[in-house]
Amino acid sequence: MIRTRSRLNTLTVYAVAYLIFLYAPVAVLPLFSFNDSQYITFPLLGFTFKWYAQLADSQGLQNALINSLKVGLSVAFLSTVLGIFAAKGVTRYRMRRSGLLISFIMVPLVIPEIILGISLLMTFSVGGIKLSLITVGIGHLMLCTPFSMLVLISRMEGFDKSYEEAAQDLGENAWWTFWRVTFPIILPGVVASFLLTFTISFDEFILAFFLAGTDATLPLHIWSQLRFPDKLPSVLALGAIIVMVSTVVIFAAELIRRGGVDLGNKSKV
Amino acid sequence: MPSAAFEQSLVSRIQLRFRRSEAVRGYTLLSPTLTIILLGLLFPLMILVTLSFWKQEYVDLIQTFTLTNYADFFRKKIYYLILYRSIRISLLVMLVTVLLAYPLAYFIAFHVKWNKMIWIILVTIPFWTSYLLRVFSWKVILGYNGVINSGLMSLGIIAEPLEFLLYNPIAVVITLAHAWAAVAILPIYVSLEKIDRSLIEASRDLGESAFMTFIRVTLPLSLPGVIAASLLVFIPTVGDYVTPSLVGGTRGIMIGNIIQSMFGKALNWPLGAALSIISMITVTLVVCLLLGATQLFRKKVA
Amino acid sequence: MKKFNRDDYIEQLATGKMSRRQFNKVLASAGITTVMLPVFSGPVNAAASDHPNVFTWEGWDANEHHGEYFEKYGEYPNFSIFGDEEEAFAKIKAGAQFDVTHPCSYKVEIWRDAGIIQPIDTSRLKYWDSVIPSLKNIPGMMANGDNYFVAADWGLTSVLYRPDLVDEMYQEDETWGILWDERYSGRLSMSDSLIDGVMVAAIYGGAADPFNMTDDEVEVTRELLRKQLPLLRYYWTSPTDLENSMAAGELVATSSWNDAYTALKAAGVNVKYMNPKEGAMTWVCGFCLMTDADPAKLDKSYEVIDAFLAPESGAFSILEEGYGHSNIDAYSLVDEATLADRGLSRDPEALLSAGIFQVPIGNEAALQSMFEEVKAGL
Repeated sequence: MIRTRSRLNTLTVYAVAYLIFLYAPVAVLPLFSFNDSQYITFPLLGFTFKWYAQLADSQGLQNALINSLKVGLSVAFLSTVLGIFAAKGVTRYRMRRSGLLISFIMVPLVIPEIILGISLLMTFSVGGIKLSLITVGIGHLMLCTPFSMLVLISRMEGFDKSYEEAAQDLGENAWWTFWRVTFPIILPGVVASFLLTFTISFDEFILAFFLAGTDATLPLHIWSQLRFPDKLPSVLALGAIIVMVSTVVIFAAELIRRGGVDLGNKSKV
Repeated sequence: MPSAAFEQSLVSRIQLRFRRSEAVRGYTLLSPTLTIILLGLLFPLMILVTLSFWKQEYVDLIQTFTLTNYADFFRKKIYYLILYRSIRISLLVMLVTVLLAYPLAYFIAFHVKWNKMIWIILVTIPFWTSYLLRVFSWKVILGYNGVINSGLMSLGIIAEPLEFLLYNPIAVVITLAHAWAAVAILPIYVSLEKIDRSLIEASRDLGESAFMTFIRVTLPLSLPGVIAASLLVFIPTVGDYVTPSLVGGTRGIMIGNIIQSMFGKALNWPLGAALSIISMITVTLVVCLLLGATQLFRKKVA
Repeated sequence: MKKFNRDDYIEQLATGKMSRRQFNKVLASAGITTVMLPVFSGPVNAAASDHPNVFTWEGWDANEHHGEYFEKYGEYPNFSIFGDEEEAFAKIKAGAQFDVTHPCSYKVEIWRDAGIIQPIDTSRLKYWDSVIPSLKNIPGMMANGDNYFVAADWGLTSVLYRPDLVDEMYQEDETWGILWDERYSGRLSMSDSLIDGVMVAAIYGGAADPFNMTDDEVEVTRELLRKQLPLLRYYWTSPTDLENSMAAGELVATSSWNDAYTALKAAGVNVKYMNPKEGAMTWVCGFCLMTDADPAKLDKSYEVIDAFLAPESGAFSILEEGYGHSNIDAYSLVDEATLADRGLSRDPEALLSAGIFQVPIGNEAALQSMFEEVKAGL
């Protein structure tokens, strides 16, 4: 492909500017997490580690973080698997009324979350199901599956059947074909879906409020801490830690993975 | 094993059935997802519909059929006015978010050579901090003594803090466009990534300019991702009530706030249920319009 | 063309024809599932212990308020947090089960009418005799001779302002009117609630009984709220918003609870708290026992309440949180100078009777929809 140099530069500049936009609010977190004042306002007063020390003492916050990781990972895994099934079903096979069925799976997106929360809570209470992280997970699954399905459908639409058929003609079984042929092709979609659904669940507040028992998820905990200013800087400290740790982990993982096959190239088969 | 033969005949019979119809295989793949959504939704939806035809009096639900709640929507200006405003803000958010996200997704898909994965994750990391924290951060950036105002004041550009940055619908749009960025970027990237590069090269070889190639080849092929992104941003923002109440000031109220208040402060669950159903139907109609418009666009380009 | 092949896989497995490499691959994928599933169904119910589930405001779950309970059991009760009583009510009505909750007194009547709370046997409370007498007789807490509420903490709702940023006259002439002063347009705030927001307008508008207004008085209140809307920066929903804005000088005056005053003053911000001529409001919050409470946890539920009522817990409230406490003995644990600094004294009765006591609001639903309309600019 012929590409002029200037066009590449404009796009690169744009991409960097966009990343700045994305990270601006996140950059505020470490700034104020070291500030020696409980109020989040300029001018900065002095440097302190006390909010991090307070964080280390907060058992509630650590539990909430673990709870959210549990729910988020489980929901991301399950909803992505469900999304793969559904997306494969609708994109590969000609079915009558598939549009209607997809729309039905999308319904949880249209319902205002507070309604979904309250009516699911009523459902659980009628069914005698105790509120716990599982009920939060079920709520999030309702919300995340449509996201996962939409992402994967857009990946699989127009997917060239001949790859799979070729593999099957070569005598591979369906499961094997899926692993060796289909999965690598849709991998970017799977990764995107996993990241997206994890992010949504990890950050979801309204459903969690109604469906959580006494185990708080991270957003619930943060929200309760946001109400009173003296707890806020510690929450900012936690936000800063999450960003820094996930950045380090991901770059480390990428360094280790170097030499391995890149996602984008893999997708070209 | 004596049962092996039986098992095999069973297996081959099932196989036969599946071979018979493509549709059955489609439905089979769809069924786990469908079952879960059905189980999780059927009861809540039934509750919602039933509630919307009841009436609330003080703490009691009057369980006789009535259309009062739906009539209230049309009788009282506040409800349709706010619903209209919410749809407008959400459409604006959708437009801004997708327009901003597309070039980035394009950049990752076509210009990043080795570290696509890193870029994708870079885009998601900011969203692993809490939504509430990010909204709070926007208040710090746009706020009275915030980053922008302090910066401009120390540079001597302004003498008094600018107050118009925060607590208005623009702040809501900025905050939401940021909040839903990942949701927009990922589907667009995914659909750009799967485009067969040889199509683009073929178009260029046929003498089309880079721009026309983008319009005639890349954009139409990435439309599924753009549509997915638009829907994923538009639909949930209509019902959002946290952002408007945090950065919208006195003018940012949306239909989500009204519905939330019906289930909370105003204590009128049936009206809340009716309002949700009406807003769900409205959102569905708007989505259908959007999809229809993209169909037209697709035909025009092709 | 070979089509559906999943059965071949079963077949291969059954006949042992599957290659080892193939088998491992399947195992690996199954492994992901088995690793993930325990995460999902893990010990999520660990908190379903034999301790009561307490549904309360953030802050009231502090260890200092449950010292006696911890001493006895070596563990704390289970807490869930709500942001206001209305969302708590929604969650409880929809079926969430709790043993003890912590609403404010003006909500007790509606909660009882909704059938979600049960009578409390005050004779089972060790500290009941030390509760300030006037807090044992709050409107709405008794019905048919039964007691449904145990007062625990109290405070004020009044005007918090920056004396350095507003006209000096307000230091002499303390009034809610500052929240309608057009000179401070865009620098004012009000609570986004009926009880601490709309009631302020009602009091300022001169309603004879703000909690039970006539139609004319409601109209006056509506006009005042409409007039105020363009002057407001925002309606506040949490103390964090208003404390940050007051510290930054973004707001010059707002309606506020007294804890914000204590916190801002401690942080060195120049703030004052009014005693408005129209009257400040007094509120009391405390404990209710839920109808759905687990009978097996009833004894411990009483102990949760008792632990909160303990004088040490009260002293913590007064010193660290800036609220009053219902146990009269808490005040003698704090020296008089500190009490005065917090706007309190050894005789809290006098303070409690001076303000306008918040009681259940008549026709709450209609007022709420009036408020929504004003906020929508109608």
